Amino acid sequence: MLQKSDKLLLIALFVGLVFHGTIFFFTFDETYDAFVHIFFADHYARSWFEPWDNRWYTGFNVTSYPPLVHQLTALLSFIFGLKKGFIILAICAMQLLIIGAYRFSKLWTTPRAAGYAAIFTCFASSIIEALHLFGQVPTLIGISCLLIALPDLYRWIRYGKYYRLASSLSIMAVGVTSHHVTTIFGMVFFVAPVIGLAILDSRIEQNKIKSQKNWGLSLSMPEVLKNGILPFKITILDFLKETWLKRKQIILFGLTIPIVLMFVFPYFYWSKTDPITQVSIPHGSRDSFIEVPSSGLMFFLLPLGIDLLVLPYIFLRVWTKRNIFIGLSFTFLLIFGTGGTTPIPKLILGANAFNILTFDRFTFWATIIAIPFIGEFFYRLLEGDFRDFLRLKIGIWPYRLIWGFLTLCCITLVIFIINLGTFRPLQPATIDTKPIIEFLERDQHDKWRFMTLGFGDQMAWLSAQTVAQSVDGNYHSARRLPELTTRPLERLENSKFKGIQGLGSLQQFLTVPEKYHLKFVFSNDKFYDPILYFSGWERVQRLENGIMVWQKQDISPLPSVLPEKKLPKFLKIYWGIMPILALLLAFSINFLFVWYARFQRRNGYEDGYERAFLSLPIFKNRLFIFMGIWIFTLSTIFITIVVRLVMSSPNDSPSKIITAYYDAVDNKHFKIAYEYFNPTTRTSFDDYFVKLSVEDGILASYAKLDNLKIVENKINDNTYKLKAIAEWITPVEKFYTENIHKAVRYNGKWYIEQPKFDPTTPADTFIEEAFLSMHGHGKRKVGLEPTAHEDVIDRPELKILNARMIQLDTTYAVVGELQNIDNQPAHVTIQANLFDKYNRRLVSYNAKYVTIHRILPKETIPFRVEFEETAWVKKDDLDPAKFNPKEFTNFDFKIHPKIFKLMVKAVVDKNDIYRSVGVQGVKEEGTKLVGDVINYGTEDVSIPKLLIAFYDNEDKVKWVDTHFLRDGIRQQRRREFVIERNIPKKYKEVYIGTDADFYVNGMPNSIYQAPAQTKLLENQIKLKNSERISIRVDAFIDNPTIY
Amino acid sequence: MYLKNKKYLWGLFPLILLGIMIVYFLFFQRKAIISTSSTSQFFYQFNLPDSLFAGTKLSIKLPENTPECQLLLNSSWGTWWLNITKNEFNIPDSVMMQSGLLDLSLFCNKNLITETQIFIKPLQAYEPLETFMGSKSITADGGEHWALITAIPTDKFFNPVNENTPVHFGFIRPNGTNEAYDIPTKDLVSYKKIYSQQKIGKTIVSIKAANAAGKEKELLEISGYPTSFNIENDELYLYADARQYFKLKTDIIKDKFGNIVSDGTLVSLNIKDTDGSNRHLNSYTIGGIARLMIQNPIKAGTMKISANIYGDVESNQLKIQFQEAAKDFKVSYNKKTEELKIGPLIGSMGQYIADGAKVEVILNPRQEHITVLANAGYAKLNLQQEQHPIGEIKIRFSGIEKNVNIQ
Repeated sequence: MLQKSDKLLLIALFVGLVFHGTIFFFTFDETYDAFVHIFFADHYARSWFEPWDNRWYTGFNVTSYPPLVHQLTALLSFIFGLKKGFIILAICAMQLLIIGAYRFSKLWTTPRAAGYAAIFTCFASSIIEALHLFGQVPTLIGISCLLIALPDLYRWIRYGKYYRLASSLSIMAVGVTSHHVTTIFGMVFFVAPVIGLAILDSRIEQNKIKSQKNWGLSLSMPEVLKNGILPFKITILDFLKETWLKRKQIILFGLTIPIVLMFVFPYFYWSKTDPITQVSIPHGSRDSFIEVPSSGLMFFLLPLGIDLLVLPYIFLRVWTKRNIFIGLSFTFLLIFGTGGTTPIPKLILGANAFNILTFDRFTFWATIIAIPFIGEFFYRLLEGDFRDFLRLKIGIWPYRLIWGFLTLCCITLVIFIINLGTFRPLQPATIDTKPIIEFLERDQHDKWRFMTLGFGDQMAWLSAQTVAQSVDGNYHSARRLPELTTRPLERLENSKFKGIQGLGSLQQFLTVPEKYHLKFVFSNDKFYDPILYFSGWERVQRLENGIMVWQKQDISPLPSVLPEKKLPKFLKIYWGIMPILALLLAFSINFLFVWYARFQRRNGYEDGYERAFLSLPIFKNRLFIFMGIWIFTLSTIFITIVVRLVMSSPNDSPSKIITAYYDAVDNKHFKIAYEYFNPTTRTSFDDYFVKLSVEDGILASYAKLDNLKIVENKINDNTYKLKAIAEWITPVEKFYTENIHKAVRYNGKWYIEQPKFDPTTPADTFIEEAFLSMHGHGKRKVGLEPTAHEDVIDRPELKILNARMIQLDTTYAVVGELQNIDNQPAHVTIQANLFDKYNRRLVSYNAKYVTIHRILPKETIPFRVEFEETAWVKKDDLDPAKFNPKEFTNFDFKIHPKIFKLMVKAVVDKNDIYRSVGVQGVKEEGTKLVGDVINYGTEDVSIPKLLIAFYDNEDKVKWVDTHFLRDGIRQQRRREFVIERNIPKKYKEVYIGTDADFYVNGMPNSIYQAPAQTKLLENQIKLKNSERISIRVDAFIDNPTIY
Repeated sequence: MYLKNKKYLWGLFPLILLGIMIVYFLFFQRKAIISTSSTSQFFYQFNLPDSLFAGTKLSIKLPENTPECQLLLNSSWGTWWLNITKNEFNIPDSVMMQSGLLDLSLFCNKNLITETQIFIKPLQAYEPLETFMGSKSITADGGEHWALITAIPTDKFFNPVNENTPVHFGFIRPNGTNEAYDIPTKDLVSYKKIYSQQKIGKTIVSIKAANAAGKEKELLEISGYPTSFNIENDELYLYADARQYFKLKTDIIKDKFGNIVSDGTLVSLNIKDTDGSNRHLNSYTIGGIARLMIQNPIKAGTMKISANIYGDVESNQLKIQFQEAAKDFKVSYNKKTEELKIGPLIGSMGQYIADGAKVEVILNPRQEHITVLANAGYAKLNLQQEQHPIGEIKIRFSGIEKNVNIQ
């Protein structure tokens, strides 16, 4: 027969099923982790007993994550598909968690209050966050198993029936196979307090019996616990004595725990044998929540939620004699949960552990411990003694207001967290992966590796649907490539949010893609376009879903045999069957065995356990007053902050308005930016917007504001002149701009003057230009045959005109010039190798931005190759707060390079050969060179890049530099540029290369014949400081007419 | 009911065919069956021909009462041990398909009894003929560059055909001439160098060996290095307004044999501007002609234009004389609004100067350069924003300079 409290559990289960079951369908694809787990599930669905997966990080071991959830999803996927399988599993996890919370609560409070706790579990903000925001289903199953196992453990310690040991261990084993970290930390924070409780309860019971004997008192458990006052003392000595009596149970349990952990033995084997050390990734939960309020909100305030309001009650309840152990645990967890806010976690854990752990999980566990007491609080408030008290003291309506307010808080939080993804998108909009899958399957495109940019966690979903491999991945513990493991970078995918390390790492992959056979990039973020274009990538097509496919020419396909880290066969099979076995074992022990025993009327597992009918301590008026003040204060603080945020206006002061304006422009909120303009002089918004819409350029379209400094200059009370010095981050360079703004006061509010736009009109109404269009289709028939001999065009012939190695302070570079002597446009890959005096190769690297990668027939292109260090070696560089994409880690030369070899190769390429841009009006002004870049063709240039080559007296290149213009150039328009006319100060020539050092398409440079330039070229500008330079323009066109 | 319909019997037809084929291969296929005489002291001598064609079936029959014997085969592909079955050695087809020397050694009771050699001869060349063209495109430079056409005729078992098998090469060159060569194979291959001629275009190549023909092959001859050329201008507006464009084009750029250079050949332009500044512009050829638009200069004077291609290829120098685009202008200052009004800015024929024309204002006390853009004939500057400069102000426009004094 169901007890009254169990009915509440049923209600909780029902509510949980309907509530989470409905909502998770809509939230799971915006969570951080769901797709990663689905990817793992897909791995097991494809190859259950082979833990090696080639698809991420050039191959990794899936034994790096406990497999239960993934394997169950894989099993469900055979019937329901991956996504639905995962959703079903998540719903089951929630049901388990509700049961777990109910069972756990009954250890600490009355069954009826436990029922309330179960209902509260459905709406606890930390759980909602874990499921609907983070998608951490394994964690949820891990904690549920632990909670379910705890009462059995309690009974094992108290009564020593082996069945209870087996039962608790079997359930814990399921938890371990789902999320071992929960179980391991749970030993300290959950298991130890419960063991302590069991010992205490035994002692209390014995004392009770003893006192009955001695004094003839007949005390029941509730009386004993009433108000926490015991008619007898329990000293530490008593506790230790009782522990000694229970030694058998404790030692046996302690000995069996390693066996339970062995269920995921391959995981420990992996973590021990994998020699790769990873640089830990900065996590918001390690921040000081006062300095970074957003982290505090996300990792502390939101998960705690309603707990914060009830905190005094929880503390009063856990800091009693019986609950002292869980009280300790709760307090510790709460302190740990504050991460870097207080120095305590760092002092206790040490700096190393502090930098590896994420601290949001401690807050999560603290909220789990709080569940019984919050349930109890609500029970007392809604139908217990608090209700009576409050109704009596303050009246019915105020009482209703109080519980109405608390419930409203809870509901608001739930709605807020679930919809957080809509308020502030955590992920890019859902991408239809089908066209990408089709692209990868077509024409053997999966023979190369690919990379996604701007997909968010959906890249895991893409990977789950294909066998094609990515250099990137979404599970940072398994990162393998040195470019990734040495940086605090989760994935290349979102590298723009990861500062210099992120973009630096991405640039390395894009500059030397042949290292990993990386040929395709799927870009969902325009931000990365310049970085791709200028490092030599080209657009292939825009897929139906709007994703741009970029490719790099001349990359060799993946070899048919890939390196793999083999596991012993025994471990593979072990990994494949143990998790499911653990589940079956738990099922047999806890259900089949019990049924069997009941049928057989065997009662070996009965231990005479009485459900302790705990009565709740009565609180004095003081508590209510304190609680009232506490809730009132917290609410006031919260409301004040919100109101101040809402009420504060940027029109209050001149510098505020400038900051707000830059912020609005940075976030492309042009309507808001327009509102800041002086209403008396501004044009209409539509006019402003139309003028704005034709502006393009790296600053307008690809930049993010990093820093803003404002210098105020008062003209009079109503007018200010402000200099805004802004630092912008772009994918290729850091930009500094200095603009003068005028702020005026109008009607007591500050406004700024609207910026003026270039009124220049083009000279011609209509322009035409002949355009070279090419197509290479090979000679094969439509079909599945691979490329034939006839399909391949000869590599274009190049001639390396000259090159030299130079030293700049501690770094080296190779500069030079080459010519396309063929008749077709070529895509060039320039690789320089440095050798020391013993002819040992030190380093090799490709030309990145400082060249033009597409070269027309007879065109000459200067280049500069720099050498970057793959490993991020220096500790002080680890600070991700600094962001400068142009900065890179220099290769750390242990021995000086003496000579170099230049390997250049080319393939015929038809893309990105716009050449109708040039420079005019170039003249010297002081130490600078000024002029205009002019676009006299028919395409709109988004980002013009100048390539400035310095020549020696023999017309040989001695230095090459680049300069990105901040604005785009429309047709028949000009933009001014200002560049330095000097070569770097610490410039030193090391070695001038000869023909013997140059190779083109794998052949010596000398076999390529081309007429030499015997006279000095006139294209060069002779400067007053006797330098001779040439300027070329490389134009990135974001929206070419032909695509 | 089913049996009444006799059509199903047609289904047996393939089976019958298969049976016929099996019978044919069992009894009528050419077999070299050599019977041997037996001796008491087991003695045996191979009686085999010196050479056989590849693909011939070969089995060696031993006398009835032979002891345990094995046959060792050695060919260019490897070594085989054959065990005797029913007094007979069946030499595998795969061995017999391979041309070259085949060593046979007979071992009985672990003693070498006898050995011999057979030369397996390749068959005739078989289709399709495997051919390769190396350098698919060469410069038509009168015989300096060449490409190689190579054929490796093989028989149907992929054995290279006999040495000195003639291979026929036929070419049609871009200038319309036909060439034909018979070149015998040597060291398995037959090849011919094709030297470039002077006209660009395709050379179509046919290859034939015995009755086997190969795929049509082609060689592309492309134009060589450009030679000097001329440039000329067109549609010129002779006023230095820094706005209008004029057209510039090259004549048809050709190589030294008169072939038009390939499309996309880059031509660089080097312009010395009227104000002494430099311009670097590019264009590429289409049909040998490179065209581009050049903006008029900012100042009256002579513009010198020349074009070149790296490798000593130069054009003539073009000199264009530009006249002044603007006339004198007025400057006024409104003390109340502190606005400096420059204009009307009038063009050479009395029209307003185009919007966006640059007027340079230099505030004397601070030597601050400010560029004001003309709009509807006037350039306006609010001096209040510039913190009320007092003193001389210099204004430059279209090569004209003016000073204004503000108190």
